[in-house]
Amino acid sequence: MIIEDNALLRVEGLRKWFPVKKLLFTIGYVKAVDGVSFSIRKGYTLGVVGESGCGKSTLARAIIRLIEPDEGKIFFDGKNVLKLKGKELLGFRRRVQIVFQDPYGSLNPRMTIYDILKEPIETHRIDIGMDVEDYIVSLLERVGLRKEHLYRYPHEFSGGQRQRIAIARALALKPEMLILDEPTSALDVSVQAQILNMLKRFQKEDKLTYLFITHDLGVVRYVSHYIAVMYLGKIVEYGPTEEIFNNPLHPYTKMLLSAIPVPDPKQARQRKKEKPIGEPPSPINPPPGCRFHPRCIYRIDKCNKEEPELVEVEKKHYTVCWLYSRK
Amino acid sequence: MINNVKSYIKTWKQRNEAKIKEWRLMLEVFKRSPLALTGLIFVTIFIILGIIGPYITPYDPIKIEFSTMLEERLQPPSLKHFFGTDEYGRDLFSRVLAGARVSLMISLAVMAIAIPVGLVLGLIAGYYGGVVDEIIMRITDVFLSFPGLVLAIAFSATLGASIWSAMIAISLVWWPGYVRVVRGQTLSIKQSLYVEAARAIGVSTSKIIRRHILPNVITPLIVLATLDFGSVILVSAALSFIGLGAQPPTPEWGRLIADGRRWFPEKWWYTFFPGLAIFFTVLGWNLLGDGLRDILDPRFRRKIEFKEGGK
Amino acid sequence: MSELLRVEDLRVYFYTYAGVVKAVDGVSFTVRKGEVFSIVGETGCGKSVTARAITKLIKPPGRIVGGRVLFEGRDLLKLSEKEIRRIRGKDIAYIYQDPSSSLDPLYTSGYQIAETITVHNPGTKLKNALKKAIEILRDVAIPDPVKRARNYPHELSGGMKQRVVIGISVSNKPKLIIADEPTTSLDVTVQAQVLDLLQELRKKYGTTIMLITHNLGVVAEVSDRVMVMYAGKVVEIADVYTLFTNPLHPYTRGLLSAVPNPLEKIDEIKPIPGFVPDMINIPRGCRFRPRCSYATQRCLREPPLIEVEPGHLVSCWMYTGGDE
Repeated sequence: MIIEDNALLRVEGLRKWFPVKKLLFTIGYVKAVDGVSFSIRKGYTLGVVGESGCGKSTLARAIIRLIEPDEGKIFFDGKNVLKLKGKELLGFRRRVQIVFQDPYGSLNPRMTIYDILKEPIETHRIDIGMDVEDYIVSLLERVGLRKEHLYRYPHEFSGGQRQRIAIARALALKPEMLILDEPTSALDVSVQAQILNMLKRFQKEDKLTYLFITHDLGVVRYVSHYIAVMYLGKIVEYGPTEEIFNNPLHPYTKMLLSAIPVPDPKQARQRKKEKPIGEPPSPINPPPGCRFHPRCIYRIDKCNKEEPELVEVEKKHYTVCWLYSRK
Repeated sequence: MINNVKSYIKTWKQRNEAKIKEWRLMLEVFKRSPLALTGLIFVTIFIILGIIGPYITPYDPIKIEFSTMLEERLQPPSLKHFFGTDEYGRDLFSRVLAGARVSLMISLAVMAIAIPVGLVLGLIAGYYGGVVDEIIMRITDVFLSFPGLVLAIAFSATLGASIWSAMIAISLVWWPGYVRVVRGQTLSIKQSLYVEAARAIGVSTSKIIRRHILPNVITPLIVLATLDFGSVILVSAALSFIGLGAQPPTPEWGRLIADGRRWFPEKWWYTFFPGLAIFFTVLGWNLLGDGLRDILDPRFRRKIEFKEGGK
Repeated sequence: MSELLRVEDLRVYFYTYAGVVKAVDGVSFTVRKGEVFSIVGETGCGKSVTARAITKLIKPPGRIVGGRVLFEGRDLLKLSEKEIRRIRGKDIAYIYQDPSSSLDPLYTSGYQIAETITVHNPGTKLKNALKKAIEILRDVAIPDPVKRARNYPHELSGGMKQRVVIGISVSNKPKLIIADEPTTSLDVTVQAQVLDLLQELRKKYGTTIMLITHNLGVVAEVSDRVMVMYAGKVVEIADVYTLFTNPLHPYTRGLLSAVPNPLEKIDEIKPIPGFVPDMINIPRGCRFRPRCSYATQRCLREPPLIEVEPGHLVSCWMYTGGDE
């Protein structure tokens, strides 16, 4: 199974459906996350890739209980996160932090940087062993900002600087794990590279564990040790990063890889391309059987009837597709 | 000691550097808007008159001088009586000045009731949602589905005609509008990423409301309240006009117009000057409200900021 | 290949409270008939403003303060609003990033295409234009075009909407299509389809395409020639192969090494240090100087755009041949 016992984070059968209502009646469900299982070992990065509506952001929020999942289990360091209450939940929040995609929305426009960074320290009353202001300055310097930025408001900063502030806020509590929800998607490429390298450095320095959510395959290849490919609420392929890119198994992964634009004109024009078919369908009442079957060129008879099971095709390389099923 | 104070001021300045800049920017925007300034001037005059009006009147606004009443009654505007006199020979200028107090009192009282009620109910409805939200909003809907003025008339007729009942009646019809605005604003801020980030940190609900939602809700509320000040004055004048607000001999602008109506149009000044007072006051609040909206709108402020950067 | 569009020393300034923002400051380039010419750069580099200035689509406080835009020999900047409107949508068509806001929610997709046809071909009956619209929808690879022509924008997916927008833009067989980030709001798989479509239409109609994007992958996939912009200036122009294999300007090099190539194992990407300059306080001389590791004293003067090899222009003192 994808789940390893010694992992820092274990997610088992996580499900979150949002009802779609018309007047008073529920006419369907957005199956945002529909039976997702995986695990991440300490100090590793799991990249979650997928297109819009695949449920990757819901997954991120469900893991830290910003959204309550309907079903499933989440174990962090052996404890079931979904059962935590009060002080224990607060303790969990200290250990797992999140950075959002949009640095313009994630900082309160009416608070100075000092106040924004003080909030987590104040809330958890953690022992920082120094003056709060000195600690905050050290945080700022760590993410490449300076002391004079302390009493400014978010709107005085560029997108990249704001994302640094958001990262500083997430690091303020000395967490063990960061959930990064498209942290560089809103940034320019040159700034994106700065942030990515910074995050990689912090991972080494602090032994941080990352759940890195993105739609950018270049970024995910650069930062992740393992990759989970999501399609309509399900993980369709999981494996070590280089395995996934060199030997993609699931037809959806193959389609994604041939669709991404490559920043190299020779490679871009000479490689064999599979023309992608259709568009990601709405996650409301997704297709039966394998959810990818309407867009799949390798489709066989049972694909639209039965849901395929998870198979380990290579060592630690899993997929959910009838083509690889031994049955 | 002095050095202590000095260094304290210095660090305060450093800490609040951005805030000071912000205020300076607001002032800058304000200075740029002649209409808002005009509004501010009208409103300031109105408030000052509301406080000291009754003490600076050239004549007693209430007492009737029976000895001179006959010669003095219904005199047109002159140097002696700027706004003319009423049927009892009282100086209308004095009565209009004194009338500012009643209008100010009523509108302040209405705001003092409607804003906190709107804020509390709106925050609760918006943040907690669900059944609580349904209950609060349905009650609000009931209030909002009647025309405000009609409802105010009904309330104040039931409560008996007096300034107090006018205050209560207007407050009763005014809070639902604020609940709506606050609830809407709360809903949108509740979904913002910075509130999500605060929740992810583990910040308590009460702190999220106080620190993240309230400051962002209050701004539009202030603008709305400023714009509404004029309307409250109009409604209170209307109530007095139909005899439900201030009672004689209390000078009140709506009441003055009502009384002068009997002599209109020959003794035009009797209705004209109180009307003018209402006009300028309401205009003043509206202009000020519009100006405030510009100031508090970050988009507008940013334009000015560009200038600071360009210096 | 013959020249379709020549832009000479284009300057677009924005007069804000803060002072003058020189969003486009002396930009010159040519677009050849039938090619895909890409303008690439980061936020605020002036690429979109350049694209819009070509048909005078600049709103106050912005103003085109100088330069010439020669389209088939005619200076578009000298035309009156009425004259340029006849060119916009007919000879030069635009495709924007967000298809939802390019379409009118109140009209069907078929009608919106038909309308563009009738506007530029007075006398065309709406009925005939609607028939033609269905043909166009078929051209932009919309399945079941007869049915889709009757759909309102909200009934279409993001990719379909962008196809309709493209359909509108090709409806009058324009000579030049200016596509401003046409795939940025789309998913990867849909992006690939839309890029394919643009290529096919170019072959079919012989249209020239000017592509504005920040995505170097998209540039590599579809362009013939590329212009790199930075802070309102052209820093480098070259054909796509030269630009990616032999980038000369330090900014172009920086950009290329900052983007992870998803098809290769990436050990390290190198960010460009610093930030894009505040457009009100632009650095003196070469605008990239504060972020450039090769900067020297001479960079305090503005470098000229010179042709270092045929068709390869760069604006950097390192290639001027002179000494310090």
